[in-house]
Amino acid sequence: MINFDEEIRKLKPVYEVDEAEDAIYANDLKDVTDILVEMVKEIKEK
Amino acid sequence: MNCLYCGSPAVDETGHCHECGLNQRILYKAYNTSNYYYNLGLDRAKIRDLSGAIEVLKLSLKYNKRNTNARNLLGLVYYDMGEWVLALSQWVISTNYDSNKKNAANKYIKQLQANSIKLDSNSRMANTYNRALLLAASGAEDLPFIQLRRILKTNPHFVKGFLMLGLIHIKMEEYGKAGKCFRRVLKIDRFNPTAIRLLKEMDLPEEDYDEDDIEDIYQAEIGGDTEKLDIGELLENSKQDEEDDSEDGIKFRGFKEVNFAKYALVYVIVGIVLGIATMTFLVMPSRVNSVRAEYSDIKLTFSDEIAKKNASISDSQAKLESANQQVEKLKKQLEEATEADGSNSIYDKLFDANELLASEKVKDAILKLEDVEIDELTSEGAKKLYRSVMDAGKGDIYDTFMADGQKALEDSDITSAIRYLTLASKIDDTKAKPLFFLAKAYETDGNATKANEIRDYIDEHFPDSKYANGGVAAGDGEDAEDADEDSDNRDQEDGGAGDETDEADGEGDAEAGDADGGAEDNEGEDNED
Repeated sequence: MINFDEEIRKLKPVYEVDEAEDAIYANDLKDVTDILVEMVKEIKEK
Repeated sequence: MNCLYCGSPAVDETGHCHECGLNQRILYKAYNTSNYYYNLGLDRAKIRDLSGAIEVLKLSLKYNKRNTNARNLLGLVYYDMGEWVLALSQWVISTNYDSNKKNAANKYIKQLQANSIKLDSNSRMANTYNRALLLAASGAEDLPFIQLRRILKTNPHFVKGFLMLGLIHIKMEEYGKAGKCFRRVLKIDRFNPTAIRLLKEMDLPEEDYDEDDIEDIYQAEIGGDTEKLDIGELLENSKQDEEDDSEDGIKFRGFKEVNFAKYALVYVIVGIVLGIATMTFLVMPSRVNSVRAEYSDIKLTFSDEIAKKNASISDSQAKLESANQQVEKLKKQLEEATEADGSNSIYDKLFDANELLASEKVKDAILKLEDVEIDELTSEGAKKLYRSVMDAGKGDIYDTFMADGQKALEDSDITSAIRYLTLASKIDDTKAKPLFFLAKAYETDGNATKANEIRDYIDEHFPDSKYANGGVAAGDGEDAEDADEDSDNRDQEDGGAGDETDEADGEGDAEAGDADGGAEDNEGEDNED
């Protein structure tokens, strides 16, 4: 049976226009290249 | 070969970049994987598997966050699901990594920014949805339901909104309506896992979206077409979905943007017409009335002032006329005074006569006063002086003038007769004889009025004289002795002085005879008489 409260909790608020900046920072994640660069940097530092 | 990451040419045969230290093979593999997931996401997006597309596109970006194609497509998918802010954020990041004008994200952002009304509407929608979500979480039903219905009318592709509305329907035990909401979600996002799961739990038929069909549809629609989707195409698909919805019980009207710019000219014209009408029927009449009232007041004021001025002008004219008359009068007086003060004034003549008298030129002195009447003299001193001059002529000079006058009268030389007789009457105004003959001279001259005046004067002042009453007693009046007798009668004061005068006259005659020449004969005759 569907649990209404549980289902509602699964729904996330949407970004409002005022929060566009936050959304931009949240979506600019690290990719594989960033991870590789960090690894090389760590290796070089060692 | 340049490095895929830093662009440096320092890449050796093993694919190692000496600049950034990254292995090109690994980078190539990562970028290739990213593109693979992008293609997968594109395919899913084409069959409206938006949730699946989001999943693989995010995976694509994890391999290469600079994959602008994947990012732009992710933004489009968000946009179609009604999450504009997420879409915008993806496009902004995309333009940040690739500022080339060919980047489609630029176009999408411009389109969003150009439609500020819709952007504002979407912002309000997000806000309303978040509040409705809080209310629903707190157990409320009605208010979130109303709010969701309202925002879904304006944004019929808002997947999260339909999901929440379906849940509220479930809570309200309206399973049929809940099912329609979830099916609506599936029309936007064909394989939305939440919608599919909830439909399954409600034991409702999924109709076109049975689990078995999902894979078939997915395979059938992938085809080999890998063209990009754009907003126009997605919106076109959305419109098609709205038309399909009309067949369901729930009516979700598509958001039709009102083009206010189209009506701007109409609004302006209507505004102008209303303004003119207001001016014509409301403002102008009151204004005209006030102007008329002001005009009437001004007219009254000026009428009063004009009346006052007219009265003042009338007074001034009257004063002017009076002044002019006074001026004329004064001018006349001045002229008279000027004449009186002239070289021929009576006083000058009087003074001249006095001087002549002092130099014993009696006759000349008398002739000087020929034109002067004693009444014209105002001062008593002048009158005395006049009289003294005339008195000096009594005797011989008087007789001479009388004789000359009578002779001239006989010779019909009336002008000379009048002159001499007038002089004689002035010298001795106590005798009526010269007046009598003077009247006769005027009568002969045809001036009966003057003659009568003189006779009246004789009758009044010499009533006992024989020359009175027209000189009837005197006859022709040529008797000198009678005249002398008459003179004696009138001049009582003369007495013995008359003899002295006669003597003086004798001396005067001698002088006058010297002066007049021919007059001596007459005087001589008079003396003999």
